Amino acid sequence: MPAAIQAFNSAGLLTFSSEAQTLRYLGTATLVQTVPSTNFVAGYAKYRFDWAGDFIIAAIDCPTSANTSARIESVSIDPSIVGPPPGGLWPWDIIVRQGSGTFQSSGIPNVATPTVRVWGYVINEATSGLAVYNASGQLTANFNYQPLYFTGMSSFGDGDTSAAIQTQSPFLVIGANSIYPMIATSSVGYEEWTPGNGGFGPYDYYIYGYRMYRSGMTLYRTPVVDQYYALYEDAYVAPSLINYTPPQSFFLIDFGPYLAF
Amino acid sequence: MPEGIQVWNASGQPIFNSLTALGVVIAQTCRVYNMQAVTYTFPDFAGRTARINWMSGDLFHFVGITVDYALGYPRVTVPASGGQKIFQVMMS
Repeated sequence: MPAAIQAFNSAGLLTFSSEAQTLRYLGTATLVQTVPSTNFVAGYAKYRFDWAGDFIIAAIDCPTSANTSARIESVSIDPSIVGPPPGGLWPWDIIVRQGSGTFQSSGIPNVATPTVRVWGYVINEATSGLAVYNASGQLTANFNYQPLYFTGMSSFGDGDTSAAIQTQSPFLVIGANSIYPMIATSSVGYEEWTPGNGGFGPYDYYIYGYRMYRSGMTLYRTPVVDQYYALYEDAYVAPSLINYTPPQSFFLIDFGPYLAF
Repeated sequence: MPEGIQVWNASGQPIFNSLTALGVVIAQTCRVYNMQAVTYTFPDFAGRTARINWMSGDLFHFVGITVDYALGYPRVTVPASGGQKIFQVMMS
């Protein structure tokens, strides 16, 4: 059975469905910890956002320089929380890597602390105005609040390091439908560092991922490879076998065409 | 005037316009635990194109997730391999 409410854009693509989740803007996350980089290990910045919903999207401004490629690495609930969330709010941890534009002598980027904005599922709360429910009676949209707005969709072709985008104001990139998927809510792909374990020496590290940034109407991805390479710690892949620029599609999100923060 | 959905907030500012939004909605956020095989179906989105958006978890085994339309609507299949995977299913 088709959704009760659907809307389409001029290209015939689905832009609203009462059976889908329309995320609302929640606010900015709080910086709670900064762990500096060393010559051997990348540091990080840790943010916290408390929210009752069971899912959030966190975003930073898409960098406009390859050297300032701060990115969100992970979004997760504090693993120390067991059972119901304290006070009804889940403590979400958001980890930001790299991006200050300065580097350790080994080349490891220093940590930036950008503004982190958060969107999340709507939750039932007393409001007036337009609220939308799906066939199961679950709240799927609440237009009393500013929704997350998808403004563009594009792809990197195999071997490409740039892709045309439809807007100059993407908040971030969401990876989708790719062999090596980008991390949702991140401005780069993925990357792993270790101060040396497994078969590596005590000061070795491996890394694989992208620095991603926007210039005008183009989004660039710079493959990052260094010293030792692996897709996964227990599944070593020789450097020559890795496709550093695989086909990769992505979405751009924003606050919408009318409002700016 | 074209047909669509436009929404304004209490201050009179427009906050949503289905005619200018990009064609994608979030149909579901999925969490699959270690070594679970799971199939998700989306009959409400017949005729739409599904995309998988990886969020966190076992990246190495993410590549085994597939999308097909044999049922006449999108179906997402997660094989029983690897650790926990969290991803979104997006429709356009």
